[in-house]
Amino acid sequence: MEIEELKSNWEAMSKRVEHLEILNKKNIMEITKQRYKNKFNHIFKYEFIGSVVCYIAAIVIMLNFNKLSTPLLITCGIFVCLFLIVVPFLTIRNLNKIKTIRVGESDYKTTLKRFEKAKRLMLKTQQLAIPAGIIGFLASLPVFNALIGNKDFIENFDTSRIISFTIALIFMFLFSRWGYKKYEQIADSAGNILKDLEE
Amino acid sequence: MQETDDFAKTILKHQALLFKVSRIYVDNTEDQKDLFQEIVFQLYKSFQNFKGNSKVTTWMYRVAMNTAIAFLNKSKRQVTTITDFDFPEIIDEKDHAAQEQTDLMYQYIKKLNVIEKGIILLYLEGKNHEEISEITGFTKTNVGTRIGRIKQKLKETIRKKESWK
Repeated sequence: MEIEELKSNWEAMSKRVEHLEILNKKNIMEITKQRYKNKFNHIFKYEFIGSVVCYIAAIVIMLNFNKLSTPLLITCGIFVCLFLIVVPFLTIRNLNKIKTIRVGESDYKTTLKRFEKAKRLMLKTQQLAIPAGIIGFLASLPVFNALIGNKDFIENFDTSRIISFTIALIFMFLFSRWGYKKYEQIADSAGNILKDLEE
Repeated sequence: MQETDDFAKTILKHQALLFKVSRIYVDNTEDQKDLFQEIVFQLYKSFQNFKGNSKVTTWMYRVAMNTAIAFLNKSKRQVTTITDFDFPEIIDEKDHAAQEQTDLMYQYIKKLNVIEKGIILLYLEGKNHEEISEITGFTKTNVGTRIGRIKQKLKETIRKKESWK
């Protein structure tokens, strides 16, 4: 197949497609009333619920901050609070940026640029959230341990806990490294599109 | 009511255009049906603001292609169809050779990136550089350069595919 053949095939297909009757007036009326589910709104809802849970956890830590008695616990407490507040805020903000782009207003190039920029920002945030999440998880263990009134977290470490903790850490490290690379690949592809648009 | 009637007439007249856009951007029929429906809805939302400064088809291509970008960028399967209509998977039920040619053609085009897909769609639809520039926002010169590059890329893809046979 040559390029000109491709074009003539397209023209032939277009003629055949002209006779297709996909929608009738009733279908169009239904669509204009948006009688279909938009899953993107659901995703936004899940992220919103997740954020509320994070904010509640942050408030619980702040209200019980006096229970964090050592400098290590205070540092961990501050980090966990910041993590629980900043990451959901950035995620919601980035999702909202994508959601509010209006497709009826601009040309293809501008729309593509806006989407790729918003996507890249979201991917970079999620990429950074992976190592931050691991540190957040590690830091949250002594904090919540102190909040529920248990003895010193380090003192309670016996052999079985050390083994299970080490295995969990190895899995978390491998999984997050895989996730980090995946995000990097997608973000790079978004970056390439942006570069191509600038040409 | 009159406005909705006018809108429905416009969609019924140009649904083939929307069908072709939906097929070029996503792979499976279910996603194509969802994208098709989303395009109709976005066109309806933007219909009130369409002042007739450009051709109806120019406006339709622009909204349809922008909706396709949005569809690809939001998470997978974000729209679920409940409006009942059949979205054709096969265009040429009787002519298998023609259907094969159509499938092969889409295979080649789907190997292009999102910018190239948009430009080649308009080129294949017989739009001139000025119209492509109006719809996409690239300059006329840039459109020409890009079309040249896409043709070269497609030629290479076709050559590779045919050398495998």
